[in-house]
Formats: sequence, C-alpha cells, structure tokens
Amino acid sequence: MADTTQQAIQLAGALIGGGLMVGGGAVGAAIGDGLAGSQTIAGVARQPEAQSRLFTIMFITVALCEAMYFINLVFMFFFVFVLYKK
Amino acid sequence: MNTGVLAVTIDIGTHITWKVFGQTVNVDTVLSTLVAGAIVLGIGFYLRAKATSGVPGRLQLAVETILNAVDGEVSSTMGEAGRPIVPLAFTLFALILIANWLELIPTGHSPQYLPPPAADLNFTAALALFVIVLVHATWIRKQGLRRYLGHYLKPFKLMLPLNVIEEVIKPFTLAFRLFGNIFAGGVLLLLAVDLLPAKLIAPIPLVDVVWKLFSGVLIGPMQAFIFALLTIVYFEAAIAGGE
Repeated sequence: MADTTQQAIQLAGALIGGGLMVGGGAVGAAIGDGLAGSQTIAGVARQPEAQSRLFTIMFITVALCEAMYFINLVFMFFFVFVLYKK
Repeated sequence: MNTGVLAVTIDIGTHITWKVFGQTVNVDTVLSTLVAGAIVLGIGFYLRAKATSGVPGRLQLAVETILNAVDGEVSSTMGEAGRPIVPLAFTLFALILIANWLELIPTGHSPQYLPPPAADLNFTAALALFVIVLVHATWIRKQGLRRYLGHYLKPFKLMLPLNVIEEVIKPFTLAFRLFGNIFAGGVLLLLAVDLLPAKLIAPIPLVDVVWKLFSGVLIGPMQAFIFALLTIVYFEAAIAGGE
C-alpha cells in the first residue's frame, strides 16, 4: 500500500519536473529566438545590403538558443523515463 | 527504457547491443557511423581522383563551396595560424551532416537498423571529447603550460571558478546539443506513429515525410554547422590566445 503510494508520488514528481523543464526551456528558447529575429529585422531595415550576412548570424544564434531547449529536453527524458523506475 | 503508465508505450533509447570484451556495444550506432564514415571517405577519394581545375562537376562544386566557407571562417577568426584546423572542421561538418541524413532513410522502427548515430549519446560524446581534448592539447602546446594555466585567472583572479566551470561545461554542451536535437526528432516520429489514432491512418506517413523534410533540410545541417563552428571558435581561443 505504501509502496504504490510511493510509486505514485515518484511518478507525479517526475512528470511535474519534466513538464517544468520543458516549459521553462521552451519559454527561454522562444524569447532568445525572438530577440535574435528582432535585431535582424532592425539591422536589415537599416541596411538592406547586409541581409545575407545578418541572416547567417541569426541562424547561428537561433541554433545556439534552441540547443538550450534540447538539452532541457534530454534531461526531461532522463527524469521521466529513467529516474522513475517501476 | 519504456514505461507502462503513460498514454503511449514507446520504446526509445534501445539499441541492438552486443557484448564485446564484457562491455555493451550499441551495434546499430557503430554500423551507422561506419556507413557515414565510408560515405565521407568515398566522396573524398572520388573527388581526389576526378578533381579538375576546368569546369567542375556538381559534387566538386558543392564541396568546394563548403570548403571555401570553412576556410573563410577560419581565416577571419584565426588568420594564417589556423590553417591546420580547416580539414578538421570540414570533416566534422561532413561527418555529422551525413550522419544526420542517415535518419531520412527508413530502416524500420524498433529496432531501427540504420539509426542516426547522433541519436546515441556515445557518438556525440566521443566527438565532443575528441574535440575538447584536441583543443586543450593544442593550447598547451602552442602557448606553453604557464600561459595555459594563466588564462584561467583572466580577466580577474576571482573569475577562476567561472572559467573552470566554463571549460568543464564545453564538452557537455557540445555532446548534449547534437544529441538532443537528433534524439528528440526520433522520439517525435515514434510518438506520431503511436499517438495518431489508427482510424486516421492517412496522416501518419505525411507527418513522417514532413518531419523528415524539416529535420533533413534545417535541423541536421544546422547542428552540423554549429558543431564545426564551435570547434573553430574553441580552437581560436587555443591558438590565437583569445583575449
């Protein structure tokens, strides 16, 4: 009886932790991408000839921001699928 | 690893394993890595035999474009001293790109016989470890042990713990970034197959194809490019004594 309660608490904790991780990571990645995009738009509006160079730097920044989110995703998988054991 | 209490039971992170000298080896990842490496080597040898300074073929044009881009990047960050880094960066980019494109070939779901090697943490961790060890060895060799140890105390002596943490974190972020991107794509494909109800059998191949297009055109090349770019950036600090 106490064992299933403990299992239920473990599962609940793992799932809530996983959800927080992915949620926080998504917010951070979206804000970072939005900042990169807005600066690119401002730069292109100021100087249209620099568009290709600014695009390259924007994609680099987007990939680095998304990397944070994916690292969070990896830890979510770890929490939900590995740390919680039947 | 699979759990029975969630809405779907998917089998993620399992590989075909053999026991070699008492260690467990993920054989499907090894096979995919060998295939990707063979393709990269094949392209290299083929171009070496057929490279012409006349009108280039399409493959030679593509490889030359990428090589020029890598060369320009290295020259703009490191100048002439960075010349030995260009082959390393280009090979890393080519290997990770071909390895990510292996995911687009359908070879069964569980077990997948030719999985993308980056979906296995062993592959990305090996690459990251190789790059970081090479960076530190080049650093000590180029600048001497005293300046290498001294860089941890720049710009203030108080920054020592932060600098140490930064250097320790680098291989982890390199490995996890590539692993997370490709692994999450694989899990998404498995979930799409499992979560869509069986009545709507039509959208499943569509989701499959759309995701593979997106991942093959955007995520795969971008992560390969980021890995190569970060390799160049880390070497720049080692060779040119980044201030």
